[in-house]
Amino acid sequence: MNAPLLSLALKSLINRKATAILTIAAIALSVTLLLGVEKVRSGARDSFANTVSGTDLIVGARGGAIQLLLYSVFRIGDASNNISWQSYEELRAWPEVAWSVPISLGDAHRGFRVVGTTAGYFEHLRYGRRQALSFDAGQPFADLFDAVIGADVARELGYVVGDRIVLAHGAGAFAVQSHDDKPFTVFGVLARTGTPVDRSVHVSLAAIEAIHVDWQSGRPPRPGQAVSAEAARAMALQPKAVTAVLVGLKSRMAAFAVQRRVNTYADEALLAILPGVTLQQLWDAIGGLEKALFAISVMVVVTGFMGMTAVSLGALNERRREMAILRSVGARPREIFLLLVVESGGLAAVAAAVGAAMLYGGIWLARPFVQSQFGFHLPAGGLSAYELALLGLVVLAGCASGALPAYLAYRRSLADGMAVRR
Amino acid sequence: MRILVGMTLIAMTTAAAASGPAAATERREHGAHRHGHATLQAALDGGQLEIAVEAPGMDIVGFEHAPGDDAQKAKIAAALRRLGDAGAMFDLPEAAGCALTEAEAEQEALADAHGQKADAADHTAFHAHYGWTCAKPEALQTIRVRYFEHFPGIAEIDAAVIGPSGQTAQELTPQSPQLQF
Amino acid sequence: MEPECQSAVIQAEGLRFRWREGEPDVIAIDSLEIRRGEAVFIAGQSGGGKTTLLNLLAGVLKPTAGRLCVLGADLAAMPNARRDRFRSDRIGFVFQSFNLVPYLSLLDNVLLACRFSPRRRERIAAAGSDPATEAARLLARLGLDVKALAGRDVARLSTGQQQRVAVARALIGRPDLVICDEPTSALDADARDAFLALLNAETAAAGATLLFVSHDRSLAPAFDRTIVLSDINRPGEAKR
Repeated sequence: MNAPLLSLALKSLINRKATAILTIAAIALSVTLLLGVEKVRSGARDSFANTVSGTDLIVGARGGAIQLLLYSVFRIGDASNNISWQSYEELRAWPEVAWSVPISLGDAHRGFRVVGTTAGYFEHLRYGRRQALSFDAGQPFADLFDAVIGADVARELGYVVGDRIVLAHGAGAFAVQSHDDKPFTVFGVLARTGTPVDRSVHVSLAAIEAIHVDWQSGRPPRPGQAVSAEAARAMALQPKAVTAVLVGLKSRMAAFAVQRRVNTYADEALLAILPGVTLQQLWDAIGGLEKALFAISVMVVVTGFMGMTAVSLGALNERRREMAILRSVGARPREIFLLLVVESGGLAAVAAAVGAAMLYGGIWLARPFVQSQFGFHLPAGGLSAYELALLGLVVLAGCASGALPAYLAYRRSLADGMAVRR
Repeated sequence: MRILVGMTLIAMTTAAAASGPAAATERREHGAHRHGHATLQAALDGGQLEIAVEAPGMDIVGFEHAPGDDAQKAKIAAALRRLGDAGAMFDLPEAAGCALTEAEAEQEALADAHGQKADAADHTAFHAHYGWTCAKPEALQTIRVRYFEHFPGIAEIDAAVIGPSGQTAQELTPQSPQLQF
Repeated sequence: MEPECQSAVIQAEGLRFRWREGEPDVIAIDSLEIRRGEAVFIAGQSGGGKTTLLNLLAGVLKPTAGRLCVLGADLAAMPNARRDRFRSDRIGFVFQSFNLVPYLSLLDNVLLACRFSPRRRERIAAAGSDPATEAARLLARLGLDVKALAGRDVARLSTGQQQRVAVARALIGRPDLVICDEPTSALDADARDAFLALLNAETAAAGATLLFVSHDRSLAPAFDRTIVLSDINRPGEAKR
């Protein structure tokens, strides 16, 4: 590549600003889409993988394995059935079980899920590389109406230790039945984990019982039948059921045996999953869609380049004179070819850079939404080797799509020589 | 971005719904019974390695009814002998220094759809269980599973692996028979 | 063994050219010689092989047969890449119109000739100047003020101005031969005469040989010698 050629290509592109900018915009958008698909894919995978670390088994009511994984760990979707407290007590006593953390889902606080659990949650739950949860402020709940909130809950709602909050029945931001007769006190704020824990409000299992103690078949108490918070304290708040149980084993070797034992449990239809294995099945299941999305984004990139080729071909006729002048001052046909390839490659390189920049802008804009809707953190991070390779391919594709008009120009300049009649 | 994430969510929920019942029972002992498909469970903790395999009778001996004659009985006995030969079924890396501690194989009639064991079994399965103690478990990166070579009826093995780096699901085929830890 | 190329600027013998095998010749010149320092007018109608002859002289096309020496070099025997380099070093061109690359500035259009030719740059350096200064000097000699016209889109220059820029580009770095292809046909009579005078003067000052091709025979008196293309190019006649 020689310098005069590069400067010629640059000046020629600047001369056709409007076309160049439109071409760059079209390709940059397609590049953003291409990288976005990849970012969301890898972000979801990493984030989900980070969330299940350290739990050997998850036990829930018999149903879909992936469904159990999604609602118990990622707080996506809802359980169709619960596990009886009795089954949980029996399971917890098995000799292979090192620890077990029951969770009870179904309530919400201003769009954040409420998790009824035990203090063991803060002790045993792991995320990322088997890191334990830690507290930014306060500590695990002690009183019946204490709540421990995740980092996002604290940040988005501006809560600090000591604030009073009211839970609502049912998940979702617009849950109407509120438990306003039994307010909670924020007792602890967890440090950020990048997992759905950040978006959870944790209370004790007994508290979940307490706020529903006067409810009848899932309906709020009729007037005159309400039980006050103080009265609830005096009642037996033994949970009757939990949604799922996270289980840690003394030895990994036992995982398959315990899983089998849960799945063949005679007294209740239960399901135990190995979270890592089920997560893999989830990815296998949506792998086809990932491929389809990737294929679509590749098609969009290709469309962008076809547009560029069309524009370049269209300009070829009016550039015939220019090519003849270049030939007359000694440009070789090969250099004419290179000039057009460099122009296309240059446009593609700029488009790739702009596309990557737009991606980060997009991530920055979409992150809160993704975090709140899907509970995973979109990583900004640098470009991975794979993404850089994709960008490299985009630039190569740019050069390749410049090759057709370049070849035509090459052929013409051989035939025309320096004599083009206008 | 929104659309992307939305589509991912749709995919997840569809996947959850679609694969629900199948995935739920797949891990159950006598759940899914698909000819050509075997399941394998491998766990490695400290120096201890255990592998359990379940394969449909059809893929091991070519029939699943109770043995009708001496030839079929002999066939089952030979298959059990072969399954019990851990050295023939797996290639473990020498460097790991693994010593076989147990290897056993049995044939079992499967519960039918109604959960009752069928006496005149329509479906049978072979079970094999192997254990090793390894001096250098960190050298156990991959294990070559040789079931495909001995039992051509097996086209695919769904493997669940628990190792030092966590849990994974792997799919083994005659083309890629390596179990990864 | 063919005779060596002589010192003449152009020397052709038995020159033949046809586009494809089996097609008739478009160029059949038995003999042509142009000496160093001459200003030669070649009179030719369009369709008379004029363009093809220029492309042959420029080394863009390769003769089908015969010998063609340009500035002492046997063009027919030269590899493609070297012919391109040769053209860029030794020959300057001025076309009928649209001589300028639209996206380059006035100065860059003149300097374009130096970009592809190290020899032209060396010659300017040997004369104790640099390309930009030399370009400005030539443009000034041709009546164009670089400073006043800087920043002006070259497509907005008048045709006469554009042609003079093309002359500056042809002359920069002192090539040995300047070939003009109908450079005046887009000019009105006054501009044409002024242009011819300038072209002749500057070519002579640069010590270059001038080859001026036109269909307009009224221009002939401005030159040392006139060659009528149809007299020397006889493609219709039987081959030897």
